[in-house]
Amino acid sequence: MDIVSRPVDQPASLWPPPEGYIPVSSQVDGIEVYAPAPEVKEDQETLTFRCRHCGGTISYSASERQLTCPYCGGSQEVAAEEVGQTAAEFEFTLETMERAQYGWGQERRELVCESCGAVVAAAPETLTSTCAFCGSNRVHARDVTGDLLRPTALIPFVVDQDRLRAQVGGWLERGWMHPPELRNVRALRKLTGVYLPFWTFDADIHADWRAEVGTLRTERYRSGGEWKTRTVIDWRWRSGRVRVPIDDHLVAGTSHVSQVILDRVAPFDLDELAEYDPGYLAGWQAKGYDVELERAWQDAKDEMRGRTKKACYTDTGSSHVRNFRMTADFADERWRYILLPVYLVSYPFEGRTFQVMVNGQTGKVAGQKPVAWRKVWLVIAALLSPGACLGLLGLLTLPVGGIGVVGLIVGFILLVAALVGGIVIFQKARASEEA
Amino acid sequence: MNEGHGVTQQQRAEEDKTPAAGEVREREATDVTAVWGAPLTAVHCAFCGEAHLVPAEDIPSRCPFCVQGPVTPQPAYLRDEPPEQVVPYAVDEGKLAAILDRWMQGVWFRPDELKAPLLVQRARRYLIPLWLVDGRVEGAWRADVGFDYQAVSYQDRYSDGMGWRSQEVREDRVRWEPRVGRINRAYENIAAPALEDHRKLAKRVGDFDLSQRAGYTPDAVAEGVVRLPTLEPDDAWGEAQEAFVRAAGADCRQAAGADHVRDLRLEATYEDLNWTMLLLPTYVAWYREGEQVWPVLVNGQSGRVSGARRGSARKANTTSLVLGGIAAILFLLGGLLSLLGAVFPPAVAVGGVILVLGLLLGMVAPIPAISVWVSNRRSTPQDYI
Repeated sequence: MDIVSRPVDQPASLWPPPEGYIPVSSQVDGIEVYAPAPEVKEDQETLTFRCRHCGGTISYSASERQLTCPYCGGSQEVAAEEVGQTAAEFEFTLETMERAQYGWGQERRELVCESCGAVVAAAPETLTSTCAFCGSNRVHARDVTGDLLRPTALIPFVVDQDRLRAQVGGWLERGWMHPPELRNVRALRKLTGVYLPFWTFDADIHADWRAEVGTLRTERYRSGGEWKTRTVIDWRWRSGRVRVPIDDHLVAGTSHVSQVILDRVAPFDLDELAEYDPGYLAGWQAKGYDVELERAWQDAKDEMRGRTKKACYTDTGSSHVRNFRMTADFADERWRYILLPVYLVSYPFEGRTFQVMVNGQTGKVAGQKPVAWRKVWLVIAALLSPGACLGLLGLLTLPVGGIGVVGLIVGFILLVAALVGGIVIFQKARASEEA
Repeated sequence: MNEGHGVTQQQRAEEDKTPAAGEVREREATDVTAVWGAPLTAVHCAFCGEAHLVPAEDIPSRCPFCVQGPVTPQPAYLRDEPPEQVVPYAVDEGKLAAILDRWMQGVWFRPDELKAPLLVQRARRYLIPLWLVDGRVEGAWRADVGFDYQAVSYQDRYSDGMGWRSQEVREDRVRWEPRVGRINRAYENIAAPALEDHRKLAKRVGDFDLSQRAGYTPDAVAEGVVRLPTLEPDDAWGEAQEAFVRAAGADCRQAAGADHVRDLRLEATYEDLNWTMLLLPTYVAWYREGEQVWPVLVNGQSGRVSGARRGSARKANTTSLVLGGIAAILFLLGGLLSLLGAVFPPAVAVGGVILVLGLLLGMVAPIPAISVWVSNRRSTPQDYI
């Protein structure tokens, strides 16, 4: 401890308190206590964003990266700063959960889809909407319940809707296996920007593993009067230690979007995370989480376990491993609730609903596209037929001096190659429709 | 006038007595009997260098502490007031006997004088002085305060065939936050050592519970011995100041409602300092082993004993010699009987058994001497002075 004694006429260097310190209650007479003042965000009360000039409702513009008024052209900066991956994280404590702030900090309405049950927060003046998740028109509005955690950060929309339309149109027209009528689907012209909820998790995992590890060895042995060689595996017990640091493992906070398509529009650059500010949500929809923190953490842990196990297997240095066991110690677990920008649209086609997503940060497009199966089967048949025909011909000409053997072999090779190609095409086509 | 570490009431009084420049005044010896109310006189030990107050009618021939050196009377230069408080003895002579008996359990080949009744008979009350300081701390402080909380972590196990098993682990963690503030608080009875070797003594006999204090009466020192202070308040101020800071740090932590405090910085003045003396209770006894006299110190409150537990080298060596002699006789006898076996064969078996017994006894014989020698060489009388 530093002990400094000074004559009373010299001012103490420890006093006055630094800027930003406020007096707090002291539990001992004769001792004053000052602590850093808690951060007071301007958006503690619910706000409605109005233009300073004309009073019209303003919204956040992805292209201009600020709040803009569509009526008079006025603009307003969003106060929050870009924090990247240093955005606040929380430990898994009950106290943290209690201290987390509640609500969006902005006057909003909730739109509830009666078809798929999705709940989205929208601007107060929104009266009706088409569900961005399932395309249903059976959507009604209700007051915000306010029992959700407030996000700590988000990535604002960067890609403008207008620019996207051309991009999505181009994506639609690509691919021979899709019906040409797809380009006429009008619903695809209306993309809805939605902030989707995500959880990020960090952990530092130390794993100790123990297993029997096999190393291959070639040995010679005598059998039936002659020397032969064979490969044997020598098994030895080995152990090791592996450290797997996990940083910002992303888990979707909603089950109302396709995880498959969400994986396809990833990744998001979390270095562009900004501190949460309700201004970013002005004019956009935002989805609250329906996958609770605990469930999301279990999902994340399962993936982290898998990665750790894989790291341990790699550490063994052999592909022959048996009686494997390991212990994984989790440390420094932290979580964060963030919002990521995604454009969503659902469209009907021939009696089915398909979903398309666009990464609101990178502009990457992914989604379901209907497949013209007749075309696909024709192509597969066309691929298989040369091999089949040649093989058949070879079979027929086999009795004639053995020429047929060549045809049979070539036909077989072509058939196998066509089969592989056909399977690939079939899988691609199926994936294109899947969600 | 405030000189950084404050000005005591005694110092103000002393200023009046400060000699003028060029004038030399002799310090007057204290009339201890008049001041302390008990017939005490001061003596000095040439061996350990310590000075004590002993009963005037019963001046010991040897130092009451080290029991080695002779003592000579000397004048005492003390404060003009007696000690203010004492910590009463919680261990009486009856309990002392039981404590010493337990302490000497397990000592092999105890010296004749290492007996609880004898030690109790020789035990003398020995009082150790300690300064208690009252003062006011006024200034500013800054520290990191820590708040305990629990975080949930996991330890997962995997094995082929059993799959994953997860175990939730609660971890205790501390959240550190900065705090600053001002302090203006009075502290009473802050302890500071009055002896240069106080730490060494405290290490030997342990701490004392200072909350169990009583007012000083002359009876407290009658028939006892008091060690004279070797540190005046000025010399002890450094340690006293550290104790003030520790007390202030604990209060600042409590004021902030925290569980821990670290990196405390305190800029303060210490005013209205008042120094008083407290006497701590111990016993000193002694026993002789060989040519040496060994002191034993006992905490008169907790009963903790400090002293060398020595075995008697004379007894151990004698025992080893006797065992060795018997072993030699058995060995010789066994050898003779074995030789006799040439004529009378059964004698070989008997002789062999006796030979083996002699060998075994011969191996065991040095053990008493060696074990006592090994345990005794670990300590010297200086360790206990």
